[in-house]
Amino acid sequence: MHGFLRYSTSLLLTLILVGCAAPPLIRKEPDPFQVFPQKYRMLATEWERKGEFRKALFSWRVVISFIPNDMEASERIKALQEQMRNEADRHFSVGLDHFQKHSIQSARKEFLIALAYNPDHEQALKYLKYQLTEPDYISYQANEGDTLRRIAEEAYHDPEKEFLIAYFNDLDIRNTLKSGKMLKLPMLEALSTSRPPQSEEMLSKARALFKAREYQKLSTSRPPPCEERLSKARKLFKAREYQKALAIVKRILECAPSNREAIDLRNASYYELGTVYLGQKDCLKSLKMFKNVDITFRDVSERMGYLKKQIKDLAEIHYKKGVTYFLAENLEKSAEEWEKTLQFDPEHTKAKRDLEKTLHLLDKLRKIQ
Amino acid sequence: MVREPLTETSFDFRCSAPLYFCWIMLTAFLMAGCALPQLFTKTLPQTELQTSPQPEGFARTFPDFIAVIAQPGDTFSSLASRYLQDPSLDWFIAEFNNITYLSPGQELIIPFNANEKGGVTPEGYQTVPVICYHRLSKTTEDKLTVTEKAFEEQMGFLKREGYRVITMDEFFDFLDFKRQIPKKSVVITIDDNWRSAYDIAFPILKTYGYPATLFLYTDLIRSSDKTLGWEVITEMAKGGIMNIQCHTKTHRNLVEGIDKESFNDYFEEVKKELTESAMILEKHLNTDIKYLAYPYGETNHLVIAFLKKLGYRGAFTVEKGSNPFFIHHYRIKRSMINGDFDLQDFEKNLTTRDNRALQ
Repeated sequence: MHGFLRYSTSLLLTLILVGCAAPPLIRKEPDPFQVFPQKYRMLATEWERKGEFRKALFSWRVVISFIPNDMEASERIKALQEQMRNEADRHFSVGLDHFQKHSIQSARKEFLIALAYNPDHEQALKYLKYQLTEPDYISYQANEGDTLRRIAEEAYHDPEKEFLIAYFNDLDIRNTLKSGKMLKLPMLEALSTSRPPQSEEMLSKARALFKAREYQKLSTSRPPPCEERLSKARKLFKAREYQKALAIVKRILECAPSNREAIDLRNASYYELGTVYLGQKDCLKSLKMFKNVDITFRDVSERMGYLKKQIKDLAEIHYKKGVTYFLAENLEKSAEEWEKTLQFDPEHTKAKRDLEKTLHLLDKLRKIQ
Repeated sequence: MVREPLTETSFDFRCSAPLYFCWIMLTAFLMAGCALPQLFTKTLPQTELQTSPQPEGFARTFPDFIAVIAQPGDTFSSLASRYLQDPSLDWFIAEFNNITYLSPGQELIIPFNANEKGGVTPEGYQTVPVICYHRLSKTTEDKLTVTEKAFEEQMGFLKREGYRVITMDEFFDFLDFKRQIPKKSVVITIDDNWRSAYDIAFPILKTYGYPATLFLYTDLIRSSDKTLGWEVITEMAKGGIMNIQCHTKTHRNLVEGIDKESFNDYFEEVKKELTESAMILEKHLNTDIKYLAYPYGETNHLVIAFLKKLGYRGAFTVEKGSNPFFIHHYRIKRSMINGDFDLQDFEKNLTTRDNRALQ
């Protein structure tokens, strides 16, 4: 009995001591970050609903960072990435289409949306930054036999401006130009030395009204703002009245030579006119129109190249016809054909020589008769 | 057997031993119950939350961002300093989390990378107004002259309304699509060599900590009560607030020929206007000249070709408007602040967003 008591008491005391000595109850603190996954899950859903896909994507990434095995987050991230990539590419393509049709504002809008979906879309960024703004240079690739002087003649109608090309391309005028070399030709506007004529006209009109005390009319004698005129020009362009659109655009450019929208519209109008004449097979008129278009505009340089070749061929056709008529002793018809040759190619040496001879002969014949 | 009666001091164990044993066992179990938790602590189920890396107090770092629980005393600046190593990125934390003030316990995400370069979103894009002053005066007000009082009010307005004045370099980084800037960013410029830039603008800008760019044309740098001399220009340049840049040599109109000037003469004169002035400023101030304000705000393709060749990063017109990131770098718009502007007029020149363009 005593043994039993002793044993029980010892056990009891041990347990009591152990119980008392036990470390205090460790209550696990709630993780302060446990709210993040749920909060950002809700945010992600909300952003997706609002169409803010980049923010939604980031929010899902927050969720998956906290809960790597979260299936929903994983699936949404994949789906969003694909959707954003596709949307960015789609809007870029649409933008490119607008750009090629020369709808600059619409193109800009599409490229911006592409960038909103994918800020790393390099092409969209490149177009926004460099292709939609006014070019300051014409790019020109030197051909075999090109000289700075000849290029200056063609680009600026002034061979003396070869120094300009040399300066901006770090070239020496004395050195031979390598074929294939890419050159930057700065675009030149006419230097203004006085106010544009239109302004002067408006000013004298305004003075006359002021003298006549017709003050009300003064406020209407101001030229309509550029935007209004531009809008009118655009409407005419859309209605295919290119000449009328050009007339307005030219006046705008007299006041504001660097107005980008006006320059674009001028290029587009001349381009369309050139295309119309090309369709009518009037190569000379077509080429004349295309010559007014900036050389970097769309495919104008290819069209001009084609037209020049066509014109050269036509010159030869008419020359040969002239020869045929001459051999058939039809001097008047031959002269006619050689005149046509010179219309197509003013420098056609044979046509010049033969026409001169023929006209001389005709003159002699008339005197005899 | 006669049982002796129980007394207070005696206890008949012979009869209550089983009971006594039960009582001991019960007590033993109760005591063991106190010690129970520590036996099982190590086998509690893991929570489903990520536990690695271990939380650094109240911040948890991930590859692309840090999750933070704000603590008492935290500010946007202190968090930016601690986690982005730059206290001036306070706006970045506030804007990302779409909050204007911080409270203890607030959950925040601080991304490591910019997420809105160019300020482009599906709704629209950010624009940055560049405002332009010429002359300031303590008393006189006219079209080109702003009073000291008005200037001070305008700077106060910027602060009150949450605008952030950024430097020229930050602005051009934004244009280059390399840097995200605060949503309500503004650039301040001052043109010409008026002494008031030093006497009036400089102290006020210093008070507010607003950087500004002063465009000078070098032929008029001379010390007088109306114009700036090298001493005060250098002082401003070293002050950390005023960035001195180029406004040409003589302030001639760069798109107009003078007195039947030949094209060649015009070419050489323009080159001089852009190169000599920059050289003079660089020599005196030991600084990079990379921005130009066009005299009369006018430019043409040839002038821009020069600027590009000579290494200018950008140039400013006086065409009114605000600038998106895709603006032509050499045709940056600037809004002139006239002397007769009230704060409403002033605010009209501070457009920081275009949300119609993408609709």
